[in-house]
Amino acid sequence: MNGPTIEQMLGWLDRDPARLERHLTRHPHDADRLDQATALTEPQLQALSEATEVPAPTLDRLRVRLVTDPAATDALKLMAELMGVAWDTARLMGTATPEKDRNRASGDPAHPSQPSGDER
Amino acid sequence: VSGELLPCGSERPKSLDDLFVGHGEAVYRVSLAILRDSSLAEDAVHDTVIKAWVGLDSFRGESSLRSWILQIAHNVCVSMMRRRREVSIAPGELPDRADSGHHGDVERTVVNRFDVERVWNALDDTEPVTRAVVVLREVEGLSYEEIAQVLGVSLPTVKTRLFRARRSLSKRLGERS
Repeated sequence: MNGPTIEQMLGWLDRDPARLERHLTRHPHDADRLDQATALTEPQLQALSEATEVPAPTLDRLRVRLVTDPAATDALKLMAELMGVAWDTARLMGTATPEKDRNRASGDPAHPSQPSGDER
Repeated sequence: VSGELLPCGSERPKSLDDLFVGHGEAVYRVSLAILRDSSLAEDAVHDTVIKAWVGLDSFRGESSLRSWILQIAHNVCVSMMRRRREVSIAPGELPDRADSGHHGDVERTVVNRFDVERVWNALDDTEPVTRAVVVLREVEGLSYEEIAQVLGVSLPTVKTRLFRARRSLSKRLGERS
C-alpha cells in the first residue's frame, strides 16, 4: 500500500496537524520527506540566526548580575554547606573508624579532619 | 570536580562563570523564544545558571550537558509563565539590534532590523513550545531526540511543530529564499 504523497502530508500540516502527528507516530520515516520539503534555505537560516543573536550588552549585564547577585553567592554558600553535611554524614556512616579518628586527631595529613577544599 | 570529563564528552564547568560562558547564550535564546520578553528572559538565564550550578553534581551524563541545562531553562520558563499567566508579546520587547555593536553600517542595520521583525512576527504566530523547537533545532542544532527530551514532548510533536513553523517562516521570509 502506498503512503500519502508529500502534498497530502503538507496539506495535513497546514490544516490538520493533529492528523499529521498521528500519522508520523505510526510512520516515523515519513517525517524525513517532510523534513526535506520544509527545510529552510541558507538565507532564511541566516535571518533566524541574526534574529536570535544575543546582544553583547545583554550578556555583559547577565554576567555581572550573576557574579554580584547575593542569590548566586548564597547558592554557592548553600552548596558548600551541603557538601559539608555530606562529608559529616559519610564520616558517621562508617568511614570514620576509631583508627581514622586517631589519625585525624594526631594531625596525619593523609587523614584530614575536614575536606581539603573544593574548587566550587 | 574541576575539568572532569563527563560521559558524554563535554567538560564539566569549573565555575559559575564557566557555566554561563559556555551555555548562557543558548539559554537566553531559548528563554526569549519561549517568554518573548527580554527582561523575563534575563531572569530565566540567571535562575537557570544558578540552578544548574547548584545541581551539577546530580548530572549523570545521561544526556549532553547542554541538553540538561536547556531542560532546566525550559522548566524555569514554564514556571515563570505559570506565575505570570500572560506573556508580553510587545514588539518593543524584541532584541535591540542597534545594541549589538556588530554592524556599523546604518543601512545594513535597518535591513537586519526588518528581517529580525519578520522572523519574530512569524514565530509569534506560534505557541511558546513551537518557538523553542525552532530555536533548539535551527539555531542550537539539537537532534530531534534531544529536543523531545528538553521540552518533554514526543518526537512526532517536535517534528510537526518544527515543520509548521518552517512553513510560516518561509512565507514571511519568502523573498530571502
